[in-house]
Amino acid sequence: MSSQQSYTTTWEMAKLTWSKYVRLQDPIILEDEGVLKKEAMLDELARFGLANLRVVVNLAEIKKEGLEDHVDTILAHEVGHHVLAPGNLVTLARLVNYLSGMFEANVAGYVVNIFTDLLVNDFLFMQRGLPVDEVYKKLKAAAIKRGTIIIADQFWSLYMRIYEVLWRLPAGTLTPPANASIDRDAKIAARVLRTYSKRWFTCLKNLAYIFKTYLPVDSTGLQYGLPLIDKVVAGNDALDKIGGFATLSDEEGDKPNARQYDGALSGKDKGVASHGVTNQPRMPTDYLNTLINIGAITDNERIRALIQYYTELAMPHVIPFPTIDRPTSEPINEGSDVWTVGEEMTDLDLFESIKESPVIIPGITTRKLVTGEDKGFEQQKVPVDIDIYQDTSGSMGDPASSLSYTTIAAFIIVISALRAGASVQATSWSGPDQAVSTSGFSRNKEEILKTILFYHGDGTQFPCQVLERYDKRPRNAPPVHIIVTSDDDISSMISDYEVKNKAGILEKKNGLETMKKAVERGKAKGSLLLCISTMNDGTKNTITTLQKIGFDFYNVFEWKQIIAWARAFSKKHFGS
Amino acid sequence: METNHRLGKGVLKKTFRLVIPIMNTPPQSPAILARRMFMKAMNELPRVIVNQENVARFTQDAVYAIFCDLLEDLLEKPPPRGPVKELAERIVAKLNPQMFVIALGFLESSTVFPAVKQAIPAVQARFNVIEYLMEELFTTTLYYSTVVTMEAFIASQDRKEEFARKLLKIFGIGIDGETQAESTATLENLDSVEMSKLSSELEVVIRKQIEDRLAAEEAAAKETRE
Repeated sequence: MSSQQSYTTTWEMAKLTWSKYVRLQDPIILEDEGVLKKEAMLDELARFGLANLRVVVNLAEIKKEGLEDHVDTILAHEVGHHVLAPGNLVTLARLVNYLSGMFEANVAGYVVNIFTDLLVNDFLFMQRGLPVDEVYKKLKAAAIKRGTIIIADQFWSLYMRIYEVLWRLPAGTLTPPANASIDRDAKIAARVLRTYSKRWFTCLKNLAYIFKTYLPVDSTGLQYGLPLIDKVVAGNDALDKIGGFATLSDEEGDKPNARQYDGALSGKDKGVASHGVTNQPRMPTDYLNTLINIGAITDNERIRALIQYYTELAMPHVIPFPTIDRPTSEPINEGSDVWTVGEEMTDLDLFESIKESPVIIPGITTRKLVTGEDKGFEQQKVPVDIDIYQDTSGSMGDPASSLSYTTIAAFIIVISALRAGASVQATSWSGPDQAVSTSGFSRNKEEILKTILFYHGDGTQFPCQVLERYDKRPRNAPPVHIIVTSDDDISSMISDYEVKNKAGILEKKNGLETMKKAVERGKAKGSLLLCISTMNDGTKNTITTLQKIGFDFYNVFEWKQIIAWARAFSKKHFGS
Repeated sequence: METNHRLGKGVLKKTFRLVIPIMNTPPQSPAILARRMFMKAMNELPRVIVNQENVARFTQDAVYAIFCDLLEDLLEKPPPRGPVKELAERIVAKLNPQMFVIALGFLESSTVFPAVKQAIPAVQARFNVIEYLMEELFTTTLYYSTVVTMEAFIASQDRKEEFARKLLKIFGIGIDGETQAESTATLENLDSVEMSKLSSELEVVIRKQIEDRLAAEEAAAKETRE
């Protein structure tokens, strides 16, 4: 019998410890050193992946620590990470991010791991009567045998002392007798855990202030006296399961800060109100860094994550998928026909039948109404294609490091357009020769969104050369709506520009002429979206000129207002 | 016999600074009660007592009457009215009278009362029982209600257990299955007054650490500028 098979019953019991409704795949039991090395879990007893909901057990380490008799407890602990804490990937990410002002990346993750272990173990010991203390006693015994208990760090002593207080075990049961300050801090931590067991963020904040003294600022000095029971990891395909993390939850309002103590510990038993931050966007840097810290993405997947971030912020404003409506029609009376036995009784028209003959003979004098349908005539709505020019000069800010409302607005319009069946051409532009564009009008969502997120961070020179692509646009293509966003002088839209011709020689052209040709060929209208407090004459002149060829003009006081515009625009052009 | 009539003196003024009061050494009683039993009593207190909306009902007269009933039940003779009335006045003025009524309700409950009654002779042997009970019940409830809100009491089993153990300690009632040392250690871990004191200590440490860190950063920045 393989290790996998021999633990099937144990696994079922572990799930039953929590509920008969728990549905999780069977755990992967690893014992081979090569495989364990490959999985980077040589020193871990077990691991739980939140995205793929998979438990991996290191049987070799379990045997080494003398824990063969406690596999049921270890497995129940793993199930606890699914059922109780953290429960899902978004909560893990939120908890880790919550501590970003207190600890460096790895340390924050470590503290959250300890916190969720405390919640799960306390539940298993107090509510289910599982001997979790025996696991730690065995770990302690094995460590004494190896001699590592001597170097067990202060934090481990604190952690074990917390369990002793929580479970009313005599001091020294799980760790060598602790000094007075560890004893004090463990008592407070135990109290915090019990008081705030349902308010995790408040609980974690208090614990973070207590743990801070024991943990290094960064991960370089992080040492573990003894191994943890397990490690909670993001797991495979984590990015697809992080929906909801782009916005803040209400509990995240009062983040703990390593440079300032807010008196949280005095709030015990009294309750501390949090500031309302529900649904406010999280900063993109926090979003990306946290995802990297919890292992949900690698450094190379930043753009993919950023697309997900802005998509999530845009989605509440995106139009719903268009529905196919049946044409409105009225039934038209087309006379009557014979009703025979076997047909629906409801179809029988007694009035018509009596008109035929006062004597009712089924199948001979019985009549039914015959109706037809007027299909009506409704002109099919063709969605406009979108040609969007996103200013990504220095003043607009990098969407990867600060929240960009213009990016959210662009995402709203692009996703709505694609849903409605339109094509989109996107251009990210900044200084001269700094324009990144999609390969023409496209329906490739990833390509379009990536282009919008491209950041130049330089000067401002509108890329008139991109408009020259309209020369090749088919005459029968749908009309286009050109959208330009900027917070600077836009006179370059209609002034002269230079572009290399086929022979490679610089040729001078006029922006206004190119724009006129584009508008004419694309059957286009346009919208100028600006955020300029004081306009110079050049910009004023450009606006007036462009208005004459079919552009609308909107100036907002702050970019946040552009969201409402994008929403209204999408509804008008792509809504059903 | 020790006398211990200290009510209304300096010890009460110190309450809000969370100084642990010098309590009378509790008597040693042969009475023993299982944890399960006293927690049952705490969890099954009449709703009229624990319902927060009823707080207005616990007037001076009501507290006086309930306390007189308890003392009479325990001592099997009417208590002296003057001191009890005076105490009821102080209770309403100084603390949440509902918490005091909860204490009385707990001691009067059918599961706890027999043990309390059994413990009375040991109390009588050392103290003036009326004065002792008035002082200890008042002081214990006062300190407890200073650091634990009614919401926390209702929501948390630990807070109920803490209050129950404190009240039983007044009568020297032992906990079944626990040595005296274990009971003391358990109550120490549960003690909210002690916890407030420890939290205040820890807060001083945390603030000092932050100040030191900021000062070190400032010094390093100054060096760089120079």
